[in-house]
Amino acid sequence: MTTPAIAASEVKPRRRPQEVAANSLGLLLLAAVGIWLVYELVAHPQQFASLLVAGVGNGALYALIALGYTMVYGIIELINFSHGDLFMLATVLSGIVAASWFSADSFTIGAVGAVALALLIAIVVAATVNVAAERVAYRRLRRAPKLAPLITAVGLSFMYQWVGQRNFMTGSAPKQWSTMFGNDSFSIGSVRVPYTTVVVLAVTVPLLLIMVYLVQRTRAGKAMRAVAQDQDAARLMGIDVDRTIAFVFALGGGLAGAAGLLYLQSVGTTNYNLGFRLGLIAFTAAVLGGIGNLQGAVLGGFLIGILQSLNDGFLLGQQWSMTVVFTVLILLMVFKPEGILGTATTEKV
Amino acid sequence: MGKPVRVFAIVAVAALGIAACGGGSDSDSSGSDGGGKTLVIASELPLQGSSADASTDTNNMIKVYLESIGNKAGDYNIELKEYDNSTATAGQWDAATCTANAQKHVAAANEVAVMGAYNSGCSKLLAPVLNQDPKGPMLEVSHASTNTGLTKAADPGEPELYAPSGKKSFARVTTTDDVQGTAAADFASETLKVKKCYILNDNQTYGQGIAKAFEARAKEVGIEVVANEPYDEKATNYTALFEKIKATNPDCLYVGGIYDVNGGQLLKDKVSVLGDNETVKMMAPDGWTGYPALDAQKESEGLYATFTGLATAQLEEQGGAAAALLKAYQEKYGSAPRTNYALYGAAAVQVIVEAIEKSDGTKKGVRDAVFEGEGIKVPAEESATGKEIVIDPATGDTTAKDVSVLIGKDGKQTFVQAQAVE
Repeated sequence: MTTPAIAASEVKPRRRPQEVAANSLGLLLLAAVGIWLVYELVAHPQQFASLLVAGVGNGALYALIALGYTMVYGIIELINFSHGDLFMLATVLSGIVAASWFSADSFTIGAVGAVALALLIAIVVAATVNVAAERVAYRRLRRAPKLAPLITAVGLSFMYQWVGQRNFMTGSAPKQWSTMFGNDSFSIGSVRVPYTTVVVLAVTVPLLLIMVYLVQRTRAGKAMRAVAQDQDAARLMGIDVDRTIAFVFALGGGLAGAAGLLYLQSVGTTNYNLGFRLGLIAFTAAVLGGIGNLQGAVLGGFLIGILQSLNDGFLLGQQWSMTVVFTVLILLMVFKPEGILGTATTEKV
Repeated sequence: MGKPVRVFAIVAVAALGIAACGGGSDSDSSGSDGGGKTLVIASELPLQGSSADASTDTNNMIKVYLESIGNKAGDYNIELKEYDNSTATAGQWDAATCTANAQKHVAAANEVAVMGAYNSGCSKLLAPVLNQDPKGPMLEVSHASTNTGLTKAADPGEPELYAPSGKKSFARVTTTDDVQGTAAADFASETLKVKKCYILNDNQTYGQGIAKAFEARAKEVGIEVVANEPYDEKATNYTALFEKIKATNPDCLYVGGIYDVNGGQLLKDKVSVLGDNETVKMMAPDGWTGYPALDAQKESEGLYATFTGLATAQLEEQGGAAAALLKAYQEKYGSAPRTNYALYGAAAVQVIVEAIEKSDGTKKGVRDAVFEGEGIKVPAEESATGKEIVIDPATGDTTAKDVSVLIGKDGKQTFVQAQAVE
């Protein structure tokens, strides 16, 4: 009797020396960053805390945008480059409703009502636009090579920018809007916490939980996951694939709408090309966390926000912030290509 | 799906195409071609983006002035051609557009001189091209490009870099940033009595230059300069940056740059983190004057800005030619110009008109009238800046060195004092 062959999957491939070296280099870099952070924390605890708060505030906004990004990717594996610009349109729209129509500039019942209305309008319009884009542009490309919908998304993003650049929207220069909380803040010790940071956090975290619940616990979520796995098989099981995908786009658009309003209320400046930079950051956040993974997108958003903020304050200064963010992304892609919370797959994009 | 969707898509694309074609091209309104009696003065201003209002008013003021002299200089009819060196995409002046415009000036046969540019960075691109005009050099007179290097030694190779033909052709009617920076630092030290300044710059030609000039003088007069650091135009906000600045505990912030470069957000975050402009004084150069959007921001209350010349209100009070121009402007357009630079634009055109009168009507002749012989003089009673303008043929600089300090007050930049310049 011969010894049974060992299943191929049980064979642990010997790690090559280069791989070991690369991995230990990665760990070394991580350790260096850790030591530096601890040093700054001990040396300037108050400044560290202030920067952390500023970073969390921005990070929550990035996370919200990234959530919409990753939602669409998770289901149809489309990197929706126009998502950032849709977000920009929502920002301007919510500004027009809250600031121009109702001039909400202080924390009163009327202003809260106006902002709530702006939120509703921004969500509905952004969701509608996103669904329309899917219906008109992406649906007919669903079986086309992956590059076609990708380029279409880039084209849509230019169209959105064109709309945003009209003078009734934000024009070609940055525009300032009045916001409900303005610069108001409270202090913990001597650390300044803007109210808007609390509000943004209070919205982002529950939204994430709702999305996770929606995808993992509901019937619609089950349909989404089935469509993500195999569209033909899902159709055979009686799932309306078109409707499910449209629903995902509506969700993604709605998230962009909510993010737009929160961005406007916490930052207060709009610019027609806002969506490009923020879309890039959100995409990076989604990839950093593991694209297609909801918790990962939020984690990535917070990480980038905090990283930028700490870099502005301690490391190389603001003009290097994007460089630092992308360096981290590249390093992560080298050592853990699937992202922090992502699962390894053989082929993506 | 099918037909209706496709038809809609085609219509949408066609509409976009038409809109795109309609937007870009600037109308060619130049008169009879070459050699005739009509000469064209070009103006180089950013007509889109944050500076649009200021630029429009400057063009209008120039038109008011040209009308007041019957659109004539000596025997020549004068026409103004407005060039736009900004793009809607950039929202401010744009390097590629400046370079393309420079070629257009050289190619236009009856264009004899350029008024502008508004931004120093653009002037630095225009000047060498105009200077090498085969029919020139072609004269450029700026009303607002204050960067030192354009006429004086600053960075290596300056100012010769802007006159590659060996003959100068760039002149200006405002003073330079070394003077402005010095005056600003003197004001900070003498009047505001600040001890410790943090400097930010917008990373553009003009912004870096003025920030450097302020830094140098501040150190001389005993102000501690914590850092001179560029800020990121596209950053989401500047909270983290100001948290860092707050930790260094300065009593003054100087921003070298133009308001167009996300200045609104910068100002807002400055006030929210460092406190209002009373607690931590904030100063900016002339690149932060003449923006209705800035004046509308409540955070601009108490913001000090220097201006390389006299403010419009001062010139109106003084009476004379400037006041007359302002009155004519008010009658024609129903409001005062929104920038102090409007009158300086008219002054630059006065220099050009004077040069055309003395010339034979060619590009070279107009340039020579300024840079050869005793140069150009605009007497005080005619000058739009209320003072005699004398362009030094050796450098192209004006002899008048005025710097005024303005403060943001009730949604307007009002005159505080004229800062002495040695």
